[in-house]
Amino acid sequence: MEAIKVDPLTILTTMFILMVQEGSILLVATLGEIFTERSGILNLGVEGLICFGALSSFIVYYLTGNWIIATLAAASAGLMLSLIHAFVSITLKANQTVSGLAITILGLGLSSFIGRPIALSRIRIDPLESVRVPLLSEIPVIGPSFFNQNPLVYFSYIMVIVLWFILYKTRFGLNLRSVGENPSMADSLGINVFLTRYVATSVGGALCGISGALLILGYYPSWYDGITAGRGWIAVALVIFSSWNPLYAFFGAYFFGLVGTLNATFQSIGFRAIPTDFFRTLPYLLTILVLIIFSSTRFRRRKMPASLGKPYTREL
Amino acid sequence: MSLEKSRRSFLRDTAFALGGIAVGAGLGYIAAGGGQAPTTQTFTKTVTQTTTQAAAEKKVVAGFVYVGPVSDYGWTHAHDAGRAYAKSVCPWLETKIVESVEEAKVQGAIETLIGQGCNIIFTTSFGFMEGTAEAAQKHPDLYFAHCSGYKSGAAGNAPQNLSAYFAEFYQLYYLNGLAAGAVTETGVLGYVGAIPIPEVIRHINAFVLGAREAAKARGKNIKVYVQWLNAWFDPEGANKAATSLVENNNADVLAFTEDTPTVLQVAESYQKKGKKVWSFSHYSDMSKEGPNAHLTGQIVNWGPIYVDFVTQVYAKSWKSVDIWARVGDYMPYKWANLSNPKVEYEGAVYLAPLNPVIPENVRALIALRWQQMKEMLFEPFTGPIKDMDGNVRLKDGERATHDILWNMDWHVEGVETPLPK
Amino acid sequence: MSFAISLASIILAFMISGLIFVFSNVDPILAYYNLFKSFTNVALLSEAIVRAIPIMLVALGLALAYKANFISVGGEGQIYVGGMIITFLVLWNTQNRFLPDPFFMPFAIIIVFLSSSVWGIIPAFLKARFETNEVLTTLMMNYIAQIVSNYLVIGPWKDPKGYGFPHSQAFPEYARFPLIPGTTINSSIFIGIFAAILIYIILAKTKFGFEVKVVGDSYSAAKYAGISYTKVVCLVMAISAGLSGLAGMSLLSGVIGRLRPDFSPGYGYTGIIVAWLCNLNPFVIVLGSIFFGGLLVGGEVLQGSMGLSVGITDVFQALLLITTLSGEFFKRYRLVWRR
Repeated sequence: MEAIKVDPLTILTTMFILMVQEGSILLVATLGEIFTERSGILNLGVEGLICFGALSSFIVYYLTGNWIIATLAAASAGLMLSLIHAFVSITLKANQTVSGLAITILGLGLSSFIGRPIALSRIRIDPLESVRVPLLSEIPVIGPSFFNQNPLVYFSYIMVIVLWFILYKTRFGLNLRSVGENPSMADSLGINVFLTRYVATSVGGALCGISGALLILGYYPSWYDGITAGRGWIAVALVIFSSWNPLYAFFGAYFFGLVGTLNATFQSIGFRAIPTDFFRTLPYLLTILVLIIFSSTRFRRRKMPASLGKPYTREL
Repeated sequence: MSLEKSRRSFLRDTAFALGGIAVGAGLGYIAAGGGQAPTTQTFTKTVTQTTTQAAAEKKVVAGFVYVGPVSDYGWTHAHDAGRAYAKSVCPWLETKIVESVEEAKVQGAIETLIGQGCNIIFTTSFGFMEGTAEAAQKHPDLYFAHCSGYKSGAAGNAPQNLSAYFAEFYQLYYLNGLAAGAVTETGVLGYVGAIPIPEVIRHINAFVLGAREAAKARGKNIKVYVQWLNAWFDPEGANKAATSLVENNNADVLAFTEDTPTVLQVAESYQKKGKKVWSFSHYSDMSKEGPNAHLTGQIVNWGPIYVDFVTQVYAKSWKSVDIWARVGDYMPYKWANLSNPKVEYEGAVYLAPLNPVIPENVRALIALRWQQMKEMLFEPFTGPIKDMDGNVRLKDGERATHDILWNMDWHVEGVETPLPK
Repeated sequence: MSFAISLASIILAFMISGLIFVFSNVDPILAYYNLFKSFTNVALLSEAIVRAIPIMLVALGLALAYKANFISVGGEGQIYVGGMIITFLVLWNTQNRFLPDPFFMPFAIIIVFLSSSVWGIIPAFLKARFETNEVLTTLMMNYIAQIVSNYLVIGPWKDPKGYGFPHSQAFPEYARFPLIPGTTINSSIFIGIFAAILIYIILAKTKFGFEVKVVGDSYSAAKYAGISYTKVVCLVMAISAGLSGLAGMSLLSGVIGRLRPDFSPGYGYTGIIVAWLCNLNPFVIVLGSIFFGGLLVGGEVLQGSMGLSVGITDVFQALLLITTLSGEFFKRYRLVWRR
């Protein structure tokens, strides 16, 4: 059986369109987790936050028909859940890994419980419509993929810049990073470590919630259990991949998005030398590989917030 | 076992069921004029026979073990709708459910239900087969019915208190194919398949046969591309597969086997952008998910099958069966030769509403084929049928047997994507 | 004092989920009665114990890893690895008959343990060598193991006589754990109890157990004391993964009887919760697993009789975990305050 003939430019464009869809969802969550981890708090609840955010935005969008309010609802849903994590890990100084896992279970469980009547009633929404950016959307490959998307995707591009700016160009960002590096020194300089960490965790949680809004309002406009499908965990890995830098997260998320399109792409040209299942494992294999490369001392020493995952106790 | 024979035994069993319904419900089927049509004579006899016995029977408590949540978008939701239907027509029926049961837990879930007083247990996933058979062995005084497997007392590989049942879609996929072949402009169709097992493969093949037939009438050739997900539930994969089929392969009709409405939603979003892309319902009517893109689709109603089983228990007329419900099976008029306005369904499997975009003549053809398949006058898999490599699989006039259908591991002519090894 | 705090944590979890029940118009007393029904009914209790076996094996292994401060979430993947290995052995033995029937299970237990250990050493080695985050590596390996296992059962290991359905051939009688007479509990529970004793002895009585605790308390202290971090975490994960692999074997040989796609109901993740809730104490874990097995059964009763979503069991587990974690703080706080 010979290969199926498809125009290479068409294939590339399709891959990019799908890449931006999936990548943007990952990107927003990754940005949120970067912001949280920069302050020294490890929040492994991303998966639960995305799911709860998705459900909240779905309900609110159904009721109001306004995507901005729906997105805000998703953000506050993510914020609320992440505050539990903040309280347990910052104030009560508990094990952040376990607390994060608990948030994941809680977020998924709550969504399933609250979302049940919604899933049963089969209400539906119209997905957000794409807005074409003039001129830019005319560029081949890049245009139809990056510049013909729904408003939340554009929001994700903006957030990359905004977060980068906050982290590296503002007083607050400097404080936040120093809290993540050396909280006792930050404390001695008069920075409120607890407040900073609370803010970072809730902003991060809000972004994860928005990632859920993008998922459900943008591409999967109906509610059912399991809609997040492990994206939260990939986002956590992407944080390491992007060395805790929002700008790198942009490339990391879209790189992962691109890898995720390989299965469908190879099938559409009839290339079967590699079994489908291999492609399904690819994102996970890649994550491990990325972890190995980017965790090795050379990369890590400079990049990882030095007190990540360590609770801070004020010396008296 | 030949199809005709299974059909006959099936009709015989529904006769038993009918008796039970008449006794138990006292509403619905017989009420108006049960004795009028000559064919119902024997049924009426069954009724009188069972009345005395059934009067002693108190309640039937049916337990349902579901593999997914009832709020899912396909399989389990449909089963639960069937349960609700059975409950609504049988006032003596009480139901209990356990959902999202993983395979390793099926025996436990069954025991939990028995502990709550169930006397018939339905298990609705292939993976529950062994566990159900073992439970049937352990509880000879209770009744069990397993969906989508091959073990039953009737088949001779399980105790007599175990029945098997399944609703078959391939004929509906053939009708979907007729609709697809009639509306496609590009002549390219896409199929997003879950797992390459015979069930899905024969659905794809039936779809292709229908599409080729309808397209041929328009002087068109049909090419069908398949994308495999290797999962029953994978909205992300379905989105990517569907988009790739449209963008890369130029498909404008997308059929699918996946447990979410994602593929239909992808088609709908293309319609919104002004590109004509069509898709279908799967398991239940999803036309709301794609008001513009929805062509038709395969819908299952497990309700009458559940009514059948629970009335067997109620009327103490249990007999192990291996039900393979297809077009025309469990049509209300076949049960009793009378019309009942209360009954809305068209059997255990039927088509979703047809989109007006399908030309009038094709809609008539779909209706004709539906009628013919109901009476077994037409079979989509009738030779000459060649596979995609040109080998003759069914000779001229030869109908596919149950075995050929259940072991299908080849694609018919017209499919461009080879099967994974 | 610490017991009182644990109790208070549990009560708090009950109260919060009780509030959720009230808000969703469910009678909380009736709900809790149903949730704990399995402890009032012999048949249901026996079912709870059946589910407790794999949870117990996973949680015991994880507890050992957590003692070394190696936060593995890899139990789920290791269950799949164990399942694949036992299936491979069954298929191989069916073809070659290399072992007499009575020797098969002991041999299989050893092989499953060892092969799963190798799988478990991978993230331990990566952590020791490259400082990769073990939560993520073990989690990613879970997905990989599950996909590979599903690939095998849909593809090369599919039962040729199974009408194309995705399952392996049924395990023959000699490859099944016999049931304890009169119950539905299979004999792999003895592996669980044995493992609990073993973990206890390792931690309390051996030099290695001491090293594990030193590594767990402080990486630098361990280095200072001349303890090889690599050796300790690799060995810890070898045992941990080996036990989880046996959990997979227990599921297939004890309950399901053949390899099936997605055969584990998330026991690998339940094991994490159990390990933490039981404060990493091996004997408490045995009891805690049975409690959780009962909770899972109770969750089903709850659905069956009250029509609630399965999600509520998750919510309850998560709340229990969060309140227990929070309770730790008050235990520590007490300690400091009294000094």
